[in-house]
Amino acid sequence: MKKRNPAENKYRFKEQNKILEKIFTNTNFLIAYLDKDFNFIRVNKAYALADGRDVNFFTGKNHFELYPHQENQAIFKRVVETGEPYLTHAKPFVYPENPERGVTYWDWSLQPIKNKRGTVESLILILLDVTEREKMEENLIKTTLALSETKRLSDIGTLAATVAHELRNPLAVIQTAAYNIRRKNKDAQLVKHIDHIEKKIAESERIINNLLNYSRIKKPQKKRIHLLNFINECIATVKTQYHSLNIVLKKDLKLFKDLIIYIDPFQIREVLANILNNAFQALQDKSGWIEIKGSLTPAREILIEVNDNGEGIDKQDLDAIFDPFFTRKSKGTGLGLTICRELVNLHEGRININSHKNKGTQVLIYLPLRMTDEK
Amino acid sequence: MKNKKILLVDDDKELCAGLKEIFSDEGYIIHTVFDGQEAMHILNQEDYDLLLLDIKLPGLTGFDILRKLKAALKKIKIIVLTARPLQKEISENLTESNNEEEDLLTYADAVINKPFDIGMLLKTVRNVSSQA
Repeated sequence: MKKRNPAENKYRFKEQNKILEKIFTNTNFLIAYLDKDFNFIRVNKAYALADGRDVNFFTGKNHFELYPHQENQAIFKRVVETGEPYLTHAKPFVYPENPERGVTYWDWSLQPIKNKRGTVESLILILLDVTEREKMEENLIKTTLALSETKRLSDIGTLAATVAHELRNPLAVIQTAAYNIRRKNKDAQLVKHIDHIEKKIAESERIINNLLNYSRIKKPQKKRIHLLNFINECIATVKTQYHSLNIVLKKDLKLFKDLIIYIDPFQIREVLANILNNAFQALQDKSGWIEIKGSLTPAREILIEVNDNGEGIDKQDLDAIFDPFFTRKSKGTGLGLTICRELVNLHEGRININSHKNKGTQVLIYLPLRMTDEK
Repeated sequence: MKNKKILLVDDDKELCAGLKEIFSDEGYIIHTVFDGQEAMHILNQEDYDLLLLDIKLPGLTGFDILRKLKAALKKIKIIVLTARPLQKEISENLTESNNEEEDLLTYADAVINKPFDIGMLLKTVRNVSSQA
């Protein structure tokens, strides 16, 4: 290779410098050149613009006096000490002087520049704002989850409706056959067995109806509902089924007076009916009380509280009560509370149950207080 | 009331056999058919007082039969027996196509869900056919 003369070398060096300068000035990457104590030596236009400042503002100022951040400072220190560069993707950052900008996300590269002795003398920090990309990804994940939830619900619905249909046909045949056996039977000993068949047909029917209820779980069709009237109607409907029992019903719903809430009335009625039925059934064998209380939480939620002094729930059962098909009732399907929780979740609410065996149960239903679908 | 003529259309042969025995013993004349197409053929040839009609059928569905009878203004009492979950059991919001089916069901004099209480079925048949 031919050796270049010094003049030619100097020319080439100047050319290269010009190119690098152009890149430094015009790139979308945010570039800062810092000394080993993290004082700014130079920043490019993109870096200054990102914080709404002038390029000259930075020179001489300390990076961590301007943007205090313990964790990042530790990273910078480590690069200086070890001489190893640092790279990361989508690191969150909040501007301390502009917290209203929200969380921003950055791809980072922190490169050490070493002197002849190998110690780090300065740092080049290169940043790329990837906030938009992160937000898009986040939205994409949210949309995908919502879609798969909708699909799951419609799959369950189709399955339940099919199963219900396929089982109702043979049940009709069994019922017809039992009827014919009963009327032609002359053997008194057979009667109780026919009774059993008919009883079990009725039970199967109930299971099928519950399955159909489960299949009805779908995206809520929300409306504005007058909360107090709505709850009173639900209570009245359930109460009529238990009028023969000696149960005191205490209502404290005055805080819901004039309150309008945005819910699917069919779904939330189902939830309340389920919870109230459970409360009445917990009192089946004894006289007792049920208390329904309404309040508001600081997190802008309504809280419907249903307390009873019934038989309560075993401690080891409490964890399982929301599981599908879990039941301790002789005639239960174990879908009631599963459906309740699913419906309350669809309303972005919560349902919690506290209980003590032989003392009673407390059900807490939280629903967001909103007027529209917006948060 | 007795000697009313019933046509029972259901593809479940065991159900047909069981109901046929019950209604015959009650004094009705009852014929059974398992296929929708065949049912339509029989209905065009012979007069019946009452049609007991399943919805899910081979040949023509119960809805097809209802649609034809409605279009022909056929004078016959109809009780639909169905195991099919009604639309309102699946969804509160009916779509247009389902609306047509719901509408056809209102053309029937009664709709009974399977499984049914036989006493209730007998009573409904008695009430509906006595209106004829």
